[in-house]
Amino acid sequence: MTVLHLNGLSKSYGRVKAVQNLSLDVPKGTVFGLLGPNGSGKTTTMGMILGILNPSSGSYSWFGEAPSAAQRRRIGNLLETPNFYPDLSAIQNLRISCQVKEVDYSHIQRCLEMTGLWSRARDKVGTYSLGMKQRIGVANALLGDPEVLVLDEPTNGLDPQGIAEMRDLIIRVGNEGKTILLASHILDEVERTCSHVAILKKGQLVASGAVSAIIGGGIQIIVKSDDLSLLAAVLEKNPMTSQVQKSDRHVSCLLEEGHSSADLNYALVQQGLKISEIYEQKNTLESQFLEITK
Amino acid sequence: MLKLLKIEWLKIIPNRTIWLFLGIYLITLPGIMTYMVRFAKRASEISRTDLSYLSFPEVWTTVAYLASYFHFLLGLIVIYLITREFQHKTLRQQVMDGLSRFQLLLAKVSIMLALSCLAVVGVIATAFVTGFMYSEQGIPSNVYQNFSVFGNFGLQALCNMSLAAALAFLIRKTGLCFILFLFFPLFEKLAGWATADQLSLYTPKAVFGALIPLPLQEIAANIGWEIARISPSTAVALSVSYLLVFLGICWFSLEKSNL
Repeated sequence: MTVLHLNGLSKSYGRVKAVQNLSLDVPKGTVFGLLGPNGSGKTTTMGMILGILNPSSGSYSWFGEAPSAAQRRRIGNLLETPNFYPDLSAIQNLRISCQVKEVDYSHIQRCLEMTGLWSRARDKVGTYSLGMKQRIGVANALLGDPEVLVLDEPTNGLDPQGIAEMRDLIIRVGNEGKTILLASHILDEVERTCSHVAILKKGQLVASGAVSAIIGGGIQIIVKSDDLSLLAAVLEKNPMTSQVQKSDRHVSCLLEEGHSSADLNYALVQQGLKISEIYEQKNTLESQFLEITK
Repeated sequence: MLKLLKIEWLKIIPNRTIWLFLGIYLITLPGIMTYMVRFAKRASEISRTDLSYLSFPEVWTTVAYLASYFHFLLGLIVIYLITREFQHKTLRQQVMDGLSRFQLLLAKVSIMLALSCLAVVGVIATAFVTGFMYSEQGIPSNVYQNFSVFGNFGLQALCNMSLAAALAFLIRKTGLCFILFLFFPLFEKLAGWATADQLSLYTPKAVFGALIPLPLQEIAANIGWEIARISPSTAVALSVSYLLVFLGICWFSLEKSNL
């Protein structure tokens, strides 16, 4: 079942096309990563699906229905920086959110405890650090135990411990069967927490699917030798390898299935090459992301 | 509507600035009236002038008219309430959390209605105390004559706040809105001079002002001093029209813009 469906969604600011013809489905129960470099349209996309930005064209639907305010009460959100009244305490701010979301005040303590903010709950939000504001933003998103969470850079401003806690929280909530749409620059975090990703570049969708499919199963091999040009030429002709690329210090290639780095090493030596170093490098989301958005 | 009013109430309770504005509003009028009654009594003893405008039932109009000069404080409260939402991006948070843009507007309208009611109650209380202080013979039988002026007074307060709200939703900057709102009558005068004189009777502030009859109007007319104004009944119809236009501007601004 699809929780969120985007159909040719576009947003322009004058001549700037922030999002172009974006079509996407977010399946229920997935932790879906929305990736892209700065200015790729992630936050704009989230702004549109959360009702604060009017799309220039296209449409979207939540839970198979046209968007409405009532639906948004079923969606926890954190978009860019958290937006709260600085002269009100965390509890007072969350009471307002409870009223808006039609949620009982009893959720407040649980959510503030989950995000480690209960001890400062009565302090004015204006006195909070950036990390604490981020935590109250997440607490606000968790109010009412929503079916869907839309989180834009939830680890912004958090210290390493806070980042680890946030990652665990997202994994825990995801394991409860909730759907999470997560935008993040920390690709290592996304790889560890997300089951699916979509990659945006200049407002356009350039890749989407399961994380394992995006990363791919191929093994990357790094080979070093005295004569890199000759090494690259030999690897180009070798049937065990593909996608050969030469850099200043080494040659990289993809190893075809059914072969090992030892097989390749043996074949290169047989061809009279002096190999100084050869090792396998597993593909990461980061390497694929950089490749896709190059 | 009650839910929206409750949300607005939760925002206001801990906010000292709003209470300060309200405090000034609620204290200023009785303070001025007390001073005026004392002054008027002293003046009447010396010059034996007619002070019927401070006795029942004329006092209703007198106090309502004087109180109408303090509507600007309610307008400033409304501007502050709206622009601080833009400043802290809290309107966008409430939309993301599940309010519609129409509900955002209704929430502000509910606060304007509440402030309008508070102003009416305040001015009635002040008028009653003022009338009681002056009317040494007690309360006359026609005490409730002209009492309907408070309906116009409430509408006047609401209309002034709707102008303030339209400026706040359009401009979103507190300081600039304060200046534009406070100097709005001046801009109207300038527009009146630049165009036909008659037109200045129909500008928003002039129309809102005409909702409350001038006290001592008959005396002024007798000595040949007349101020050109539209009739209160015309003013009601035009004020309601302006009210709808200003709320329409708020709605259009909220609906069409990105938050």
